[in-house]
Amino acid sequence: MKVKEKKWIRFRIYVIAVFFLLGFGTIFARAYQLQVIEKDYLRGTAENGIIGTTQLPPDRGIIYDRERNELALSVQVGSVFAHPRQIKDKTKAARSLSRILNEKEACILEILKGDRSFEWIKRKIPPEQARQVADLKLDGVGITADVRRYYPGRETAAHLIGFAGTDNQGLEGLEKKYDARLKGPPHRLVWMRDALGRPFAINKPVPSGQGMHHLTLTIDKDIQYKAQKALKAAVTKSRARGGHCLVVAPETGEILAMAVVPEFNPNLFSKYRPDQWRNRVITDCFEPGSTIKAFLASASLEESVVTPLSEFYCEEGKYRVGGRVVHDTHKYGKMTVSDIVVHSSNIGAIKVGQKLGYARFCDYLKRFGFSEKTGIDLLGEREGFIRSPEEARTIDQATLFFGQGMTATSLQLAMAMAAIANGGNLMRPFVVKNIVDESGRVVEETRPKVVRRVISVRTAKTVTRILEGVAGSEGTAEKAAISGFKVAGKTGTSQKVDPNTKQYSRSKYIASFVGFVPSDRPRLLISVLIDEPKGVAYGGLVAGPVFNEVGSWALNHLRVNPQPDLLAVAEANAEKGSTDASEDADNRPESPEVKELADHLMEGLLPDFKGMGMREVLKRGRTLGLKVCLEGSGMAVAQEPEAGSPLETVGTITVRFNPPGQS
Amino acid sequence: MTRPEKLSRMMTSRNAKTGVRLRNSRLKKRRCHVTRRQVVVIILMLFLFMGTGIGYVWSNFEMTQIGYDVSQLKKEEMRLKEINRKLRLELALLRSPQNLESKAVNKLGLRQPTPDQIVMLP
Repeated sequence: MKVKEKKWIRFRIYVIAVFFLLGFGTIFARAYQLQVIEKDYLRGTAENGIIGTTQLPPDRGIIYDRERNELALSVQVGSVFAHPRQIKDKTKAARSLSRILNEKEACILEILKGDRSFEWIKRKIPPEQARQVADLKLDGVGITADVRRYYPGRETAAHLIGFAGTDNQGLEGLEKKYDARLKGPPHRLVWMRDALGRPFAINKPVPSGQGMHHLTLTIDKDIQYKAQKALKAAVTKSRARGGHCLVVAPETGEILAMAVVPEFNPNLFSKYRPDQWRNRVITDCFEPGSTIKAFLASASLEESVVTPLSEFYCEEGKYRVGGRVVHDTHKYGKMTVSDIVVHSSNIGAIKVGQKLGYARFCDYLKRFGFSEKTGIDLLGEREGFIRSPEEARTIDQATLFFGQGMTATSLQLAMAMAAIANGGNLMRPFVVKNIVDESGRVVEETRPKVVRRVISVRTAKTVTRILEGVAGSEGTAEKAAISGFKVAGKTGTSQKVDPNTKQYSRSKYIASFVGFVPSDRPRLLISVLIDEPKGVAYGGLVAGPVFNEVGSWALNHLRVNPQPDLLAVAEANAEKGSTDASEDADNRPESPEVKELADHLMEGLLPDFKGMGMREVLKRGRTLGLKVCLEGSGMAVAQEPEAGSPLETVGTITVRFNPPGQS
Repeated sequence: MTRPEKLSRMMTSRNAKTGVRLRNSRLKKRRCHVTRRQVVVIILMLFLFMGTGIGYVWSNFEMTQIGYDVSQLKKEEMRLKEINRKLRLELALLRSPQNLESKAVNKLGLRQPTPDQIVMLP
């Protein structure tokens, strides 16, 4: 190869090497420029591309009632914050904010004058206000998304549900107990703008609701509302301090309603005293009084110590025991065990109890769930107290047989009575039916749990029959009776201990009624307790009517039909009462309708039902002894057979109804 | 077509009779010859590469577009979910027993039925 050619090749190699070196050099130089020299400037530019971050507030699950009606749910609202250091004209900012937020200008100014870098001005404001504040475009003032918990039922089940605080944390009741389950994780979205100015989110949001769960309760919001309303009315009427009402499904232990008076509104919880938040059904212990006689009868019958017809002498209302004299409200002579319970004789109870023995009775009470926690899924439950046989003096032993000298919660009493109602099984009460995740999948489900069998089915049935007498015409709780249903229950009127004198007060009582209905196949167990009623303090008179009101309404709500034979008896009694009350009823002029009906009857012809309502058609049909078939709804438009047909030939009549205004 | 001899040998071969060194340019030309079939294959492959390239770019573009749409829809979903919650709250408030009772009693003038107004169907 010629020298010239070799030189040419070498030259070309150099050229290419220089070319590559220059290239690499340029790349390194540019990288250095971008990464080192212009680092801060470029970072600023990049961050300017972020239009904003959306801090999504931690979500909170919904609390539903048993029919999936919302009892508590969270909604996004705005919260106004300020960076006081960044605000130039603080007076002006305070003025415009105070106008929108309806807060005192001085208060806002006070916050803005502080030297802190971050301050809340007002939290959880309505969306409309948030929009107005955002429109002000004040430097150093911003709006952030926040979550507010709402309780649409207001006072309904407030003590049970509790409430969540400003920072979305459960503070009371189920909100506190299930806080970890209800709470969702906080998550953040960063919004950026691309070269074409289109916004996009750069980090994926945590799927909202991950880790968040909803609760379904066993509560029926309508029964709960009714229980609260009836209880409140009774407490107001008797000028009492307060009261509890529990509605339980005795077969399963599900709590259908848990009402406490005085009430509070969890939407404005801070306006109430903390003691008003307390769920007294589980946290307050009281002396149950005569209601305990139902358990005394159960224990004695189960142990075969007595039979319902065993007789005891009730000492004509005065009985000396352990150096004290025990009284009955009425003077009784010989009484059967059934009558002792029905008439609530304290002396009779002592005698039955003495035959059974204190230790054995204590043991039964414990088996019925007294002096131990029921295990309900709520916070703050107390267990109550029973004096042990070693500690109890003779008088302590005697008073226990009629429910004084021991304490229990409303819930314990209700569950113990539920054991009699359902045939002898003590159930674990529960309020949370299930826990579902956000996709609706059931994560946890509470099943009815039998704690133990306390008495046999036979004993339970016998006691139920005795307790039916309590709500009968001779019992202490006639006012608790619900027409068309058999009611079994027991009243209680217990003396309270005066905290000042440490003695039983002569003016402070607790009136209670615990019963179940229908007694042969119980659907509802209702326990009513009125704390310190003024005036008449008897359980049957103060608490009984609440049982009647809640029970009759709830049975209708649950579509439990009354027994026709019992209904007929009730109707007959009512009619008898009304004729006694209004003697001049016969002298009243007959209404034109009655006259018309009478005319037709006289003639033995079928009347014209057209234009009547369903109720009227049924009533008239029944009067005529006809079987009535109803079709449609509204007012009667046609009948088969036609009006005027001879009554002897008609057995069944079909009446068609149409809503008014429709042909 | 015979396989050409090695280039180096061809370059150095001499004519046997004349002894003149030959520059065998004809053979060189034959080396660059491409058949029609090869042209078609090359063109096809070019199209294939171009198609793949365009397809790749297009799918990338579509991906970005869909990404934007997804992010917009996510935003919309969040907005709608929030509205849904607010409406549920309103519905719950309207359906609360307190509200229904006050509406029924005060607005419609309804009242609880008296026992004699209730007729039991057999």
